[in-house]
Amino acid sequence: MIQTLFAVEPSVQWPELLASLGGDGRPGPFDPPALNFVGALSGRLLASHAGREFPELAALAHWFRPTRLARVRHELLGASSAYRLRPRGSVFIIAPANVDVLFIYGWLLSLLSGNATVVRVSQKPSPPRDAFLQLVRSLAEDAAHKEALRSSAIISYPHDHSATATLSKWCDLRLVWGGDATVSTIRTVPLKPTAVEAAFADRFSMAAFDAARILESSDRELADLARRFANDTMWLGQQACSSPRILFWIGSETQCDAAKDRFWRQFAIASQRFDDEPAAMMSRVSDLFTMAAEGVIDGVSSPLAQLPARARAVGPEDAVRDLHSGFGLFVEYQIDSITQVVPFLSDKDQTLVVHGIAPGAVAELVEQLPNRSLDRIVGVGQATDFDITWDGTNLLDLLTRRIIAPSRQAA
Amino acid sequence: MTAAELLKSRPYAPSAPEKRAMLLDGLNELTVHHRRNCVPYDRIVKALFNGADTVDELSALPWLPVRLFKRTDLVSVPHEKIVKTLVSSGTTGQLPSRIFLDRETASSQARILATIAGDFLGKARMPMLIIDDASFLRDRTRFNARAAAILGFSSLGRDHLYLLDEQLLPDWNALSSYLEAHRDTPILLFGFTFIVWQNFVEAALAEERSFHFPPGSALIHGGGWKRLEDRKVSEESFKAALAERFGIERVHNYYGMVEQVGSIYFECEHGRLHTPAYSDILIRDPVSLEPLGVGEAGLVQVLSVLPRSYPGHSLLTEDLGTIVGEDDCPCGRNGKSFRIHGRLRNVEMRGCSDTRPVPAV
Repeated sequence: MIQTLFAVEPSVQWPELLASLGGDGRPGPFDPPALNFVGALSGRLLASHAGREFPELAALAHWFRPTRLARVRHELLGASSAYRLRPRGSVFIIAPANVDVLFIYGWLLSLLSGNATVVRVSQKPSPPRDAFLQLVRSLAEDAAHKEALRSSAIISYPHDHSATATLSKWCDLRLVWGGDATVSTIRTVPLKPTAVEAAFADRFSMAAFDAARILESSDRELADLARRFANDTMWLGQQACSSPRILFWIGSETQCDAAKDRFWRQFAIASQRFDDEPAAMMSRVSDLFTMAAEGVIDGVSSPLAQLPARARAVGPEDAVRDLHSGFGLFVEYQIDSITQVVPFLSDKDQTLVVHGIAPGAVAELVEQLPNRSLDRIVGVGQATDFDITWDGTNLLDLLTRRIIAPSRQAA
Repeated sequence: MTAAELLKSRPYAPSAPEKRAMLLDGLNELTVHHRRNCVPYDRIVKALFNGADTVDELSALPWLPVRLFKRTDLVSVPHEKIVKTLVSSGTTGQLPSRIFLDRETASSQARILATIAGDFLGKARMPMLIIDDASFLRDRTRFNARAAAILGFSSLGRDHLYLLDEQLLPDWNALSSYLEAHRDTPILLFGFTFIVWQNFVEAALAEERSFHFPPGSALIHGGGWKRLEDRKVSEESFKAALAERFGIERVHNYYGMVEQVGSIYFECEHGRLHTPAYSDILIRDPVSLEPLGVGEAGLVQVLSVLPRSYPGHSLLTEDLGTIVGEDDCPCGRNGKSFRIHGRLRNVEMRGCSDTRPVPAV
């Protein structure tokens, strides 16, 4: 059963819906109607009740503010080059369920790029998604915005539905956000031969703090640092792929112990505004037991039920990746220098949040990254920020095509 | 008194102070035994309970979350001693628990079940109607917690009739002949709460059938109220329907779990679940895990002196319950009496994934 959550003509039934999204005469990337719609949406969101109620929607609205859109447009189209940009064509986006509003970033970038876009969202209810779509529907009543929205549909259907096959044959680009199992399953569904795909599977993230730098900081600086790190990790229950779950402390044992003591004291205050839930606590506690049973940790630095929970790591980090389910659990390692994280890294690792690491040392680390490990090294507070570059790939490069052709100015 | 002696006492005889001392000794001894014989368990006690060996009160005993048995195989006897592996039913997509029993643990489990049931049902073995299908007897690959419970309970009766076919449809003709053949003896019925309701009570209602079971017939059912609660079926209407449709006046719910053998809690005539001498429960705050008192709702921790072949003598469940009293139930049985309110609500799942719920046991 296909459920149409948004379409300009909601009465059009599947699969006629696909034909109604249009094929010929697509607008160019970042054409005014699309820009105006996204700009208006951003403004309305910021001013709306939904924006106040759901911080993730406010963050989204801020990201898509008109000044940024103008800058992105300029970077994309302004540079004189040997090619012209056109939309990719038809885009099929499969959104993740755990981060409710992530699909919106993909959808709006695809819409801005001029594509016909179908987004499949999870069947799970989502209050922020509902609030967002309500706003989109009201904007669609405006004739100007209706035009920009004509090529988009947001739908939902059970995972095993044949719609995935139909959409995969229809699209020129398939973007998949999902768990490893989902990505593998979707990969078995054939695309048309000219189509391309990018899949964003489960990832894992870590943080590395310089103990000496923490010890030099004032309580006030640490309070601010802790607040930003709480945003990186406690928001969404540490479920975002980019939320650190392992924390490396860099320094001598004495330094690290003292630094941990000071930092976590501030973190306890900063994380008070995040509620714990019994089921989340049980999940976290069960993880601690499993890690202890497997010899991955040899002790906890907090009472069992406390949020956050901290465990002292003695075992291999690949076990931590497998056994960690988030919800405010930090597994701590002690190392002597930032480059000592290299042996810990795997292809699964996406973000390393760093504090107190000199730019030269970060550059050295980047040069030593194994295979495809780590796509981002960011400061504290930026872990969950959205970026057009996702898992090492520029989304706009995927959403557009480069046409090799003489420019208008060419003689 | 040692754990072995404790197993010999009558299930609801010891008073609170006697029972506490016996249990504490028995459970402390088991902690030492499991630490010596199960490396992962020893690591847990070292890392998470400061290496506690013997403790002074039940609430200080090391415990394991039941979910751990879905993720780690825990055994305290050499592999060749394992005679039976219990596997929890588990919902689709979730890993089942695996519980390893040696001969001693398996047989003490069977003995305890008989003793406890005997206290409620009397010593004589009654003809027994099982409200389930018997296909698991033929297909051992489906030998899960449901099958284990049926097999375990079936030892309480004789002349078994499995009422349902593989589609869980009742064979009313077989029931008529069975009642005809056992006209003068009370019949023991066993089934899972939801199946009893849907495939026995509701099925009879839909086909407008009613039967008259001999006086003294008793139903034992377990497995949880959740699905009946979803259908707004109360305990009262459940019992009323059984009395009206089948003339069954004695209905005993039970609470127990595959992860802890010997923890079998029967509901008495006053609607309270009872802890037998060999077992106890504690209630913990669902946020802080601190122990709670009588009348306070929280997570149920179950204790049992039976599990020797695997470290399951002290488990924190994800069920919510309340202790009603101790040694003071109007039914006259000693021990704690309690109620179960249901399972902890699931939380959303890990990673940038879509549909995997956190297994809540």
